[in-house]
Amino acid sequence: MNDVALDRPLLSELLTQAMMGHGAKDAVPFALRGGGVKTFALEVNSPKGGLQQTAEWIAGSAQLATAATHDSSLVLLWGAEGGLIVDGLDARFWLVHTTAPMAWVRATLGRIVWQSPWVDWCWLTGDMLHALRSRGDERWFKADFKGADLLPSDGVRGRRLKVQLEGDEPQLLQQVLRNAGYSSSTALTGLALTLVDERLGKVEEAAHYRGSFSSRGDSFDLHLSFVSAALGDYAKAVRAVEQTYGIAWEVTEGRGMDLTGGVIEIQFERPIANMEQFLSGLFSCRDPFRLWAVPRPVTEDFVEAEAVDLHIGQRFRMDITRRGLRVYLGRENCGNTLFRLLANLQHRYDATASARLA
Amino acid sequence: MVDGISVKEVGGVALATECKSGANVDIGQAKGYGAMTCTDVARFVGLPFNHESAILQPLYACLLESRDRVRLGLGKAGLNAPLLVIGDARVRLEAEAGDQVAAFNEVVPPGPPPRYIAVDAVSDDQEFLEVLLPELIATVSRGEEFVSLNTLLSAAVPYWDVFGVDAKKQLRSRARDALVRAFEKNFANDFRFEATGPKLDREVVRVLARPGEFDPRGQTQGWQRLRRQASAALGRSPSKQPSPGQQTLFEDLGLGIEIGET
Repeated sequence: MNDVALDRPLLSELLTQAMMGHGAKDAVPFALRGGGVKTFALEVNSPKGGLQQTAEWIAGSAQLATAATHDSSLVLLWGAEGGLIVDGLDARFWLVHTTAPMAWVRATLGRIVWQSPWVDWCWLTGDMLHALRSRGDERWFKADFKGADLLPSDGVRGRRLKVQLEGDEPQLLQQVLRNAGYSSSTALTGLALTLVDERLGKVEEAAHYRGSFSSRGDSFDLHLSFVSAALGDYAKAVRAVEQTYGIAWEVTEGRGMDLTGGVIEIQFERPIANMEQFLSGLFSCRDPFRLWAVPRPVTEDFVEAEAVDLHIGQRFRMDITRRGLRVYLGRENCGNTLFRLLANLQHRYDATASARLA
Repeated sequence: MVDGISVKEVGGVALATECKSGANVDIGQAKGYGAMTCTDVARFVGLPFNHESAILQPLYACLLESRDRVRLGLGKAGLNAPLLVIGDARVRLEAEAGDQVAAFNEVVPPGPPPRYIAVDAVSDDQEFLEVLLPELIATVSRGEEFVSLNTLLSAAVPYWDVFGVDAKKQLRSRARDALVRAFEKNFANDFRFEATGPKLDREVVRVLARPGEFDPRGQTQGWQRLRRQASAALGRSPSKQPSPGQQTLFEDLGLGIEIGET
């Protein structure tokens, strides 16, 4: 198939028009609908080669068509209901732009992530989402905490908490909830900001902790600069974990072994009251943790687990105490595992959970 | 036998450490530490610097509750060694001026210290299964059809490459025995050893059932089944907790908390 005549200036023009409500039928092999642009950040640790080969493999497994463009870092994927524009400028951390119906996008990307052991969402932790607040005026925030799997049914304040507030200074309610004793349940799930740039324009931007963004306004470039910065910070954090904390034994001739890397601690403010339920939920093999383990209780307060991340097929060790977890990632482990674990613990066990790199 | 040797290249210091799980000090052993030299260390395990000008520093490590008795025992042996004292919340190094280590007193995370070495040549079958079964599950979840014992061991034992030929042979044999028993008893339909290669002189573990190929719901059940079987192989009772993911009463009635997506 010939390359589609799409480059970055044209992409910017087409998606700016879409954000302003004007669709386009013939510019690319699928219709671009007016009404807003969604962008999904994916971590793609592909063994399939470059962007084009990886996109072709994904297209084949998800029954999508694919085409290259005039820009080697932009690839198109599409089906009957819509299309995806893949920005693989960073070959490992993709931005996937779309104007397709949300139900189709969720189902399609969900299937791709489920089926591909090397494709995952970018899991933004509470700190990462919070850091986005400084980039615009906050319009709403959403807290969606689901403690049913990991928390006991009795004696817990805020086992399920779902709040969304729109208006000026919405973060004040978040502070109220935290000060009222609900800090461990007030997860930061999403937020929306108004971004204004004198040169580029104005957009309403919503960000969700599972690395998804939605934007309306008059500047795709402003949206892109926002999501690109968020993704850049995320990629930097993942790579830092892998490079600094991946544990490895290095053999030096005549000197024995050097241990490099270190243990990552995830600390809870909410102590684990029911260890059995916590372990059962964490190692249930289900989404979103997708962890397999047969934990080994050492004492009542200390449990060891050789866990398997079923999503990527890698083993790593965990110690579980009443006050948190220790995560031992090997040099070969994917740093995204840590952020998937942390972001989902913040939404299912303790919103105040934080990672300390020991 | 010294429990651990650490070295500081700048200044040429070797720290010979004895770790006490209890409070009793073997007087003869403590005197041995006192008489030890860097030449001894260089002869048995090697040193990355010239042993003739190096300094050997003995060190004892013990738990907080044993500290006084260990110190007493060292006094009886005439060994004035620095003491690493490990408590639940703090770790401190008791050292004096002139010692080759500097005193500290640090807050530590709760629980035992991080464990880096999972199995060695004297580990029992269960300790092997603790790391080999998860490594097998990881193999299955990657969709691989077979895996060699060497590959499994090199993934499960991070320092596998530094073992000598004999030690590897011993580890391999023990790992194989542990897996054979577990396969027969707990994983008859999931894994088996199989001869491979042109002369059928090599052996791999063949994966017989792959939950990753089921639909999403079947996948979860498949992984959970393997978890129950692994629990049995490791001698642990399965969790009595209800399966996570069941809907709450309100959600059953369609009264779950819902807010429209933006």
